[in-house]
Amino acid sequence: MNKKVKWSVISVSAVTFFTFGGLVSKHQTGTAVPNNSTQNGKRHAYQDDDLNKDQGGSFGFTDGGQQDNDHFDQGQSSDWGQDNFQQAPSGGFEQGHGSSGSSR
Amino acid sequence: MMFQAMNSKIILEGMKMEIKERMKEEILSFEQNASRFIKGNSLDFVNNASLHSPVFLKHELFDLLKRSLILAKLAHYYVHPFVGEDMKSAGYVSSFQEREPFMEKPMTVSSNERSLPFRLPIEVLTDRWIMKKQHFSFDFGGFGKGFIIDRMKERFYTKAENWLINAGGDLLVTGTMTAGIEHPVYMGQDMICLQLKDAALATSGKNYRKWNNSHHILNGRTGKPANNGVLQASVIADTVMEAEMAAKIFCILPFKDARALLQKNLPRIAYFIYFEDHQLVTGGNQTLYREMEVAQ
Repeated sequence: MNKKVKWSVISVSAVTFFTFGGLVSKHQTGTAVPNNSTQNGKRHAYQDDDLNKDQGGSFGFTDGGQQDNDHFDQGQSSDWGQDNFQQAPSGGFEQGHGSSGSSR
Repeated sequence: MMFQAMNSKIILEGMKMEIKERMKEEILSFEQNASRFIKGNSLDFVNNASLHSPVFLKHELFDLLKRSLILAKLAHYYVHPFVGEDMKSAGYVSSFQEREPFMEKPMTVSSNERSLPFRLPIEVLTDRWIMKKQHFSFDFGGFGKGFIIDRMKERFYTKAENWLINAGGDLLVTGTMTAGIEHPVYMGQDMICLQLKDAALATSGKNYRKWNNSHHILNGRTGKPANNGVLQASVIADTVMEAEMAAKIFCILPFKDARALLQKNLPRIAYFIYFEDHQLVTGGNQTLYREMEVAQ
Protein backbone atom coordinates (compact mmCIF):
# COMPACT_ATOMS: atom_id res chain seq x y z
CA MET A 1 0.00 0.00 0.00
CA ASN A 2 2.77 2.37 0.98
CA LYS A 3 4.62 1.43 -2.18
CA LYS A 4 1.53 2.26 -4.30
CA VAL A 5 1.16 5.68 -2.66
CA LYS A 6 4.86 6.32 -3.15
CA TRP A 7 4.70 5.49 -6.86
CA SER A 8 1.55 7.60 -7.31
CA VAL A 9 3.31 10.60 -5.75
CA ILE A 10 6.36 10.02 -7.95
CA SER A 11 4.23 9.74 -11.13
CA VAL A 12 2.21 12.89 -10.38
CA SER A 13 5.37 14.84 -9.54
CA ALA A 14 7.09 13.67 -12.72
CA VAL A 15 4.12 14.60 -14.94
CA THR A 16 3.84 18.01 -13.26
CA PHE A 17 7.57 18.64 -13.63
CA PHE A 18 7.67 17.75 -17.34
CA THR A 19 4.51 19.74 -18.10
CA PHE A 20 5.91 22.79 -16.30
CA GLY A 21 9.29 22.34 -17.99
CA GLY A 22 7.62 22.10 -21.37
CA LEU A 23 5.61 25.27 -20.81
CA VAL A 24 8.66 27.20 -19.65
CA SER A 25 10.79 26.18 -22.61
CA LYS A 26 7.93 26.98 -25.02
CA HIS A 27 7.72 30.52 -23.68
CA GLN A 28 11.45 31.03 -23.64
CA THR A 29 11.81 30.80 -27.36
CA GLY A 30 9.41 33.22 -28.89
CA THR A 31 11.66 35.99 -29.97
CA ALA A 32 11.23 36.03 -33.68
CA VAL A 33 8.33 37.95 -35.10
CA PRO A 34 7.43 36.11 -38.28
CA ASN A 35 6.47 38.12 -41.29
CA ASN A 36 5.05 35.34 -43.28
CA SER A 37 1.51 35.56 -43.52
CA THR A 38 -1.72 34.46 -42.31
CA GLN A 39 -4.90 36.41 -42.40
CA ASN A 40 -5.86 37.67 -45.85
CA GLY A 41 -2.36 36.92 -47.03
CA LYS A 42 -1.05 39.81 -44.96
CA ARG A 43 0.56 39.98 -41.60
CA HIS A 44 1.68 43.08 -39.78
CA ALA A 45 5.09 42.88 -38.20
CA TYR A 46 3.46 43.96 -34.95
CA GLN A 47 0.35 41.82 -35.07
CA ASP A 48 -1.21 41.47 -31.64
CA ASP A 49 -1.23 37.69 -31.36
CA ASP A 50 2.56 37.73 -31.54
CA LEU A 51 2.65 40.32 -28.81
CA ASN A 52 0.36 38.35 -26.57
CA LYS A 53 2.48 35.28 -27.04
CA ASP A 54 5.52 37.31 -26.14
CA GLN A 55 4.08 38.94 -23.05
CA GLY A 56 5.59 38.39 -19.69
CA GLY A 57 7.31 41.65 -19.22
CA SER A 58 9.58 41.80 -22.19
CA PHE A 59 7.58 41.75 -25.47
CA GLY A 60 9.69 38.77 -26.32
CA PHE A 61 12.89 40.78 -26.04
CA THR A 62 14.86 37.84 -24.80
CA ASP A 63 17.94 39.49 -26.26
CA GLY A 64 17.34 42.17 -23.64
CA GLY A 65 16.82 44.68 -26.42
CA GLN A 66 20.45 44.42 -27.34
CA GLN A 67 21.99 44.73 -30.75
CA ASP A 68 25.70 44.37 -31.23
CA ASN A 69 26.28 42.68 -34.54
CA ASP A 70 26.05 44.43 -37.86
CA HIS A 71 25.95 41.50 -40.22
CA PHE A 72 23.47 41.98 -42.99
CA ASP A 73 22.83 38.59 -44.50
CA GLN A 74 20.86 38.62 -47.69
CA GLY A 75 17.21 37.69 -47.16
CA GLN A 76 15.52 34.91 -49.06
CA SER A 77 12.34 36.58 -50.24
CA SER A 78 11.47 35.19 -53.65
CA ASP A 79 9.03 38.07 -54.21
CA TRP A 80 11.87 40.52 -54.71
CA GLY A 81 13.03 41.01 -58.25
CA GLN A 82 16.16 42.72 -59.51
CA ASP A 83 16.60 46.38 -58.66
CA ASN A 84 16.02 48.81 -61.47
CA PHE A 85 18.54 51.68 -61.66
CA GLN A 86 17.81 54.72 -63.78
CA GLN A 87 18.56 58.42 -64.07
CA ALA A 88 16.05 60.35 -61.95
CA PRO A 89 13.44 62.35 -63.88
CA SER A 90 14.02 66.05 -64.28
CA GLY A 91 10.37 66.94 -63.94
CA GLY A 92 7.18 65.57 -62.53
CA PHE A 93 3.44 65.09 -62.60
CA GLU A 94 0.90 67.40 -61.06
CA GLN A 95 0.22 66.40 -57.45
CA GLY A 96 -3.08 65.17 -56.08
CA HIS A 97 -4.02 64.56 -52.44
CA GLY A 98 -2.34 61.16 -52.48
CA SER A 99 1.19 62.42 -52.75
CA SER A 100 3.94 61.04 -50.53
CA GLY A 101 6.88 63.27 -49.80
CA SER A 102 9.32 63.93 -46.97
CA SER A 103 7.50 64.69 -43.72
CA ARG A 104 5.95 68.13 -43.61
CA MET B 1 -11.30 67.16 -45.00
CA MET B 2 -7.98 68.83 -44.30
CA PHE B 3 -6.50 69.93 -40.98
CA GLN B 4 -3.17 70.40 -39.22
CA ALA B 5 -1.92 67.89 -36.64
CA MET B 6 1.36 66.23 -35.64
CA ASN B 7 3.27 68.95 -37.39
CA SER B 8 1.70 67.86 -40.69
CA LYS B 9 -1.18 68.54 -43.01
CA ILE B 10 -3.72 65.71 -42.63
CA ILE B 11 -6.01 64.83 -45.53
CA LEU B 12 -8.98 62.49 -45.08
CA GLU B 13 -10.84 61.40 -48.20
CA GLY B 14 -13.47 58.83 -49.13
CA MET B 15 -15.06 58.15 -45.75
CA LYS B 16 -18.36 59.54 -44.43
CA MET B 17 -18.24 62.94 -42.76
CA GLU B 18 -19.13 61.40 -39.40
CA ILE B 19 -16.11 59.08 -39.63
CA LYS B 20 -13.88 61.99 -40.69
CA GLU B 21 -14.96 63.97 -37.63
CA ARG B 22 -14.25 61.05 -35.31
CA MET B 23 -10.87 60.45 -36.95
CA LYS B 24 -9.96 64.10 -36.60
CA GLU B 25 -10.89 64.03 -32.93
CA GLU B 26 -8.78 60.92 -32.29
CA ILE B 27 -5.78 62.19 -34.24
CA LEU B 28 -5.80 65.51 -32.37
CA SER B 29 -6.22 63.73 -29.04
CA PHE B 30 -3.33 61.39 -29.88
CA GLU B 31 -1.14 64.38 -30.70
CA GLN B 32 -1.96 65.94 -27.34
CA ASN B 33 -0.82 62.77 -25.56
CA ALA B 34 2.13 61.65 -27.65
CA SER B 35 3.91 64.74 -28.98
CA ARG B 36 7.21 65.52 -27.31
CA PHE B 37 6.65 69.21 -28.01
CA ILE B 38 3.63 69.50 -25.69
CA LYS B 39 4.62 70.16 -22.10
CA GLY B 40 2.67 68.39 -19.37
CA ASN B 41 1.19 65.69 -21.60
CA SER B 42 1.40 61.91 -21.09
CA LEU B 43 4.66 61.59 -23.00
CA ASP B 44 6.23 64.49 -21.12
CA PHE B 45 5.34 62.73 -17.86
CA VAL B 46 7.13 59.56 -19.01
CA ASN B 47 10.07 61.52 -20.39
CA ASN B 48 10.57 63.24 -17.05
CA ALA B 49 10.10 60.12 -14.91
CA SER B 50 12.92 59.18 -12.53
CA LEU B 51 15.23 56.30 -13.25
CA HIS B 52 14.53 52.89 -11.69
CA SER B 53 10.96 53.77 -10.70
CA PRO B 54 7.89 52.10 -12.22
CA VAL B 55 6.08 54.35 -14.70
CA PHE B 56 2.51 53.73 -15.84
CA LEU B 57 1.68 54.32 -19.51
CA LYS B 58 -1.78 55.09 -20.84
CA HIS B 59 -3.16 52.32 -23.03
CA GLU B 60 -2.57 54.16 -26.32
CA LEU B 61 0.98 55.14 -25.43
CA PHE B 62 1.82 51.63 -24.31
CA ASP B 63 0.42 50.21 -27.54
CA LEU B 64 2.51 52.68 -29.53
CA LEU B 65 5.62 51.74 -27.55
CA LYS B 66 4.95 48.03 -27.99
CA ARG B 67 4.57 48.27 -31.77
CA SER B 68 7.53 50.63 -32.07
CA LEU B 69 9.79 48.26 -30.13
CA ILE B 70 8.89 45.30 -32.30
CA LEU B 71 9.71 47.26 -35.44
CA ALA B 72 12.84 48.74 -33.85
CA LYS B 73 14.09 45.24 -33.17
CA LEU B 74 13.48 44.24 -36.79
CA ALA B 75 15.41 47.39 -37.77
CA HIS B 76 18.38 46.33 -35.60
CA TYR B 77 17.67 49.51 -33.61
CA TYR B 78 18.98 51.78 -36.38
CA VAL B 79 15.51 53.26 -35.96
CA HIS B 80 13.99 53.40 -32.47
CA PRO B 81 11.90 55.77 -30.33
CA PHE B 82 14.55 56.62 -27.71
CA VAL B 83 16.07 59.46 -29.72
CA GLY B 84 14.53 62.50 -27.98
CA GLU B 85 17.81 63.67 -26.44
CA ASP B 86 19.76 63.04 -29.66
CA MET B 87 17.15 65.05 -31.56
CA LYS B 88 17.65 67.91 -29.10
CA SER B 89 21.45 67.63 -29.44
CA ALA B 90 21.03 67.76 -33.20
CA GLY B 91 19.09 71.00 -32.78
CA TYR B 92 15.53 69.70 -33.22
CA VAL B 93 14.22 71.36 -30.07
CA SER B 94 10.91 72.79 -31.21
CA SER B 95 8.13 71.91 -33.58
CA PHE B 96 8.66 72.89 -37.22
CA GLN B 97 5.19 74.34 -37.07
CA GLU B 98 6.37 76.89 -34.52
CA ARG B 99 9.66 77.89 -36.10
CA GLU B 100 12.80 76.58 -37.67
CA PRO B 101 14.62 74.44 -35.09
CA PHE B 102 17.18 76.31 -33.07
CA MET B 103 20.69 75.01 -33.41
CA GLU B 104 23.19 75.90 -30.73
CA LYS B 105 26.26 74.97 -32.69
CA PRO B 106 26.74 73.76 -36.24
CA MET B 107 26.84 70.01 -36.45
CA THR B 108 28.74 68.06 -39.01
CA VAL B 109 26.67 65.37 -40.68
CA SER B 110 28.27 62.07 -39.88
CA SER B 111 29.32 59.56 -42.44
CA ASN B 112 30.13 55.93 -41.87
CA GLU B 113 30.50 56.40 -38.15
CA ARG B 114 30.90 53.17 -36.29
CA SER B 115 27.57 51.86 -35.10
CA LEU B 116 27.39 51.53 -31.35
CA PRO B 117 25.94 48.50 -29.60
CA PHE B 118 22.36 49.16 -28.56
CA ARG B 119 20.94 48.42 -25.12
CA LEU B 120 17.24 48.89 -24.48
CA PRO B 121 17.06 51.74 -21.90
CA ILE B 122 13.81 50.52 -20.38
CA GLU B 123 12.53 47.44 -18.68
CA VAL B 124 8.95 46.43 -19.36
CA LEU B 125 7.68 45.38 -15.96
CA THR B 126 4.14 44.30 -16.79
CA ASP B 127 1.47 45.30 -19.23
CA ARG B 128 1.55 49.14 -19.21
CA TRP B 129 4.29 49.52 -16.59
CA ILE B 130 7.85 50.28 -17.58
CA MET B 131 11.01 51.35 -15.77
CA LYS B 132 13.68 53.63 -17.18
CA LYS B 133 17.15 52.17 -16.77
CA GLN B 134 19.03 55.07 -18.39
CA HIS B 135 18.38 58.72 -19.00
CA PHE B 136 16.57 59.24 -22.32
CA SER B 137 13.44 60.77 -23.72
CA PHE B 138 11.03 59.32 -26.22
CA ASP B 139 10.54 60.82 -29.65
CA PHE B 140 8.20 58.55 -31.56
CA GLY B 141 8.38 60.70 -34.70
CA GLY B 142 7.31 58.68 -37.74
CA PHE B 143 6.36 55.72 -35.55
CA GLY B 144 3.71 57.92 -33.92
CA LYS B 145 2.30 59.22 -37.16
CA GLY B 146 2.24 55.74 -38.66
CA PHE B 147 0.66 54.31 -35.53
CA ILE B 148 -2.30 56.69 -35.50
CA ILE B 149 -2.99 56.32 -39.23
CA ASP B 150 -2.92 52.51 -38.99
CA ARG B 151 -5.13 52.76 -35.94
CA MET B 152 -7.71 54.81 -37.83
CA LYS B 153 -8.08 51.95 -40.30
CA GLU B 154 -8.27 49.34 -37.53
CA ARG B 155 -10.88 51.39 -35.66
CA PHE B 156 -13.16 52.62 -38.42
CA TYR B 157 -12.74 50.56 -41.58
CA THR B 158 -15.61 48.08 -41.75
CA LYS B 159 -16.68 47.75 -45.38
CA ALA B 160 -14.92 47.98 -48.71
CA GLU B 161 -14.54 51.67 -49.53
CA ASN B 162 -11.87 53.73 -51.20
CA TRP B 163 -10.20 55.71 -48.44
CA LEU B 164 -7.17 57.93 -48.40
CA ILE B 165 -5.50 59.12 -45.21
CA ASN B 166 -2.49 61.30 -45.93
CA ALA B 167 -0.56 62.62 -42.93
CA GLY B 168 2.13 64.90 -44.27
CA GLY B 169 3.27 62.46 -46.94
CA ASP B 170 2.72 59.21 -45.03
CA LEU B 171 -0.39 57.71 -46.48
CA LEU B 172 -2.74 54.79 -46.29
CA VAL B 173 -5.06 53.66 -49.04
CA THR B 174 -7.99 51.27 -48.85
CA GLY B 175 -9.48 49.99 -52.07
CA THR B 176 -7.70 51.05 -55.24
CA MET B 177 -6.36 54.58 -55.56
CA THR B 178 -3.68 56.49 -57.40
CA ALA B 179 -0.83 57.86 -55.33
CA GLY B 180 2.34 59.75 -56.16
CA ILE B 181 5.87 60.05 -54.86
CA GLU B 182 7.08 63.61 -54.66
CA HIS B 183 10.21 64.65 -56.50
CA PRO B 184 12.77 65.53 -53.79
CA VAL B 185 14.34 68.23 -55.95
CA TYR B 186 11.36 69.62 -57.85
CA MET B 187 9.15 69.68 -54.78
CA GLY B 188 5.48 70.19 -55.49
CA GLN B 189 5.60 67.68 -58.35
CA ASP B 190 5.38 63.89 -58.26
CA MET B 191 8.20 61.97 -59.94
CA ILE B 192 6.34 58.65 -59.79
CA CYS B 193 2.66 57.79 -60.12
CA LEU B 194 1.43 54.45 -58.70
CA GLN B 195 -1.78 52.57 -58.39
CA LEU B 196 -2.10 51.19 -54.87
CA LYS B 197 -4.57 48.71 -53.48
CA ASP B 198 -4.99 48.38 -49.71
CA ALA B 199 -1.48 49.58 -48.97
CA ALA B 200 0.56 52.16 -47.10
CA LEU B 201 3.17 54.47 -48.61
CA ALA B 202 5.66 56.49 -46.58
CA THR B 203 8.55 58.73 -47.55
CA SER B 204 11.56 59.92 -45.56
CA GLY B 205 14.01 62.43 -46.88
CA LYS B 206 16.80 64.81 -46.10
CA ASN B 207 15.43 67.50 -48.37
CA TYR B 208 12.95 68.82 -45.84
CA ARG B 209 13.03 69.47 -42.09
CA LYS B 210 16.67 70.40 -42.28
CA TRP B 211 18.61 73.25 -40.75
CA ASN B 212 22.11 74.60 -41.37
CA ASN B 213 23.96 71.54 -42.57
CA SER B 214 21.88 69.04 -40.63
CA HIS B 215 18.60 67.13 -40.99
CA HIS B 216 16.20 65.16 -38.81
CA ILE B 217 16.99 61.56 -39.78
CA LEU B 218 19.23 60.18 -37.06
CA ASN B 219 21.05 56.89 -37.06
CA GLY B 220 19.66 55.22 -33.92
CA ARG B 221 22.97 53.47 -33.27
CA THR B 222 25.14 56.60 -33.39
CA GLY B 223 22.63 59.28 -32.43
CA LYS B 224 23.94 61.41 -35.30
CA PRO B 225 22.31 62.58 -38.53
CA ALA B 226 22.74 59.89 -41.17
CA ASN B 227 24.62 60.41 -44.39
CA ASN B 228 24.47 57.48 -46.78
CA GLY B 229 24.07 59.20 -50.13
CA VAL B 230 20.28 58.81 -50.15
CA LEU B 231 18.26 62.00 -50.50
CA GLN B 232 14.81 60.44 -50.25
CA ALA B 233 13.35 56.97 -49.75
CA SER B 234 9.74 55.91 -50.28
CA VAL B 235 8.38 52.52 -49.27
CA ILE B 236 5.11 50.68 -49.86
CA ALA B 237 4.13 48.23 -47.12
CA ASP B 238 1.03 46.79 -45.49
CA THR B 239 1.04 49.38 -42.71
CA VAL B 240 2.26 52.95 -42.41
CA MET B 241 4.42 52.09 -39.40
CA GLU B 242 6.25 49.45 -41.39
CA ALA B 243 6.61 51.72 -44.43
CA GLU B 244 7.94 54.55 -42.24
CA MET B 245 10.50 52.33 -40.53
CA ALA B 246 11.73 50.87 -43.82
CA ALA B 247 12.00 54.30 -45.48
CA LYS B 248 14.14 55.52 -42.55
CA ILE B 249 16.41 52.47 -42.80
CA PHE B 250 17.03 53.27 -46.47
CA CYS B 251 17.99 56.83 -45.42
CA ILE B 252 20.40 55.59 -42.74
CA LEU B 253 22.27 52.47 -43.85
CA PRO B 254 24.33 51.96 -46.99
CA PHE B 255 21.85 50.85 -49.66
CA LYS B 256 23.10 47.25 -49.87
CA ASP B 257 22.90 46.79 -46.09
CA ALA B 258 19.46 48.39 -45.89
CA ARG B 259 18.22 46.16 -48.69
CA ALA B 260 19.61 43.01 -47.08
CA LEU B 261 18.24 43.84 -43.65
CA LEU B 262 14.77 44.61 -44.95
CA GLN B 263 14.62 41.69 -47.36
CA LYS B 264 15.23 39.47 -44.38
CA ASN B 265 13.13 41.19 -41.71
CA LEU B 266 10.37 43.02 -43.60
CA PRO B 267 10.04 41.41 -47.03
CA ARG B 268 6.56 42.73 -47.88
CA ILE B 269 7.80 46.09 -49.11
CA ALA B 270 8.53 47.84 -52.39
CA TYR B 271 10.98 50.76 -52.45
CA PHE B 272 11.82 53.85 -54.49
CA ILE B 273 15.17 55.38 -53.57
CA TYR B 274 16.44 58.73 -54.83
CA PHE B 275 20.19 59.13 -54.38
CA GLU B 276 22.05 62.43 -54.01
CA ASP B 277 23.72 61.77 -57.37
CA HIS B 278 20.21 61.75 -58.94
CA GLN B 279 20.05 58.01 -59.52
CA LEU B 280 16.66 56.44 -58.91
CA VAL B 281 16.41 52.83 -57.77
CA THR B 282 13.17 50.87 -57.61
CA GLY B 283 12.83 47.35 -56.26
CA GLY B 284 11.40 45.01 -53.66
CA ASN B 285 8.08 43.25 -53.90
CA GLN B 286 6.49 44.69 -57.01
CA THR B 287 3.19 42.93 -56.43
CA LEU B 288 2.42 45.59 -53.80
CA TYR B 289 1.48 48.11 -56.48
CA ARG B 290 -0.34 47.76 -59.77
CA GLU B 291 0.97 50.32 -62.18
CA MET B 292 3.95 52.61 -62.06
CA GLU B 293 4.67 55.60 -64.26
CA VAL B 294 7.92 57.53 -63.91
CA ALA B 295 8.03 61.17 -65.09
CA GLN B 296 10.45 62.19 -67.83
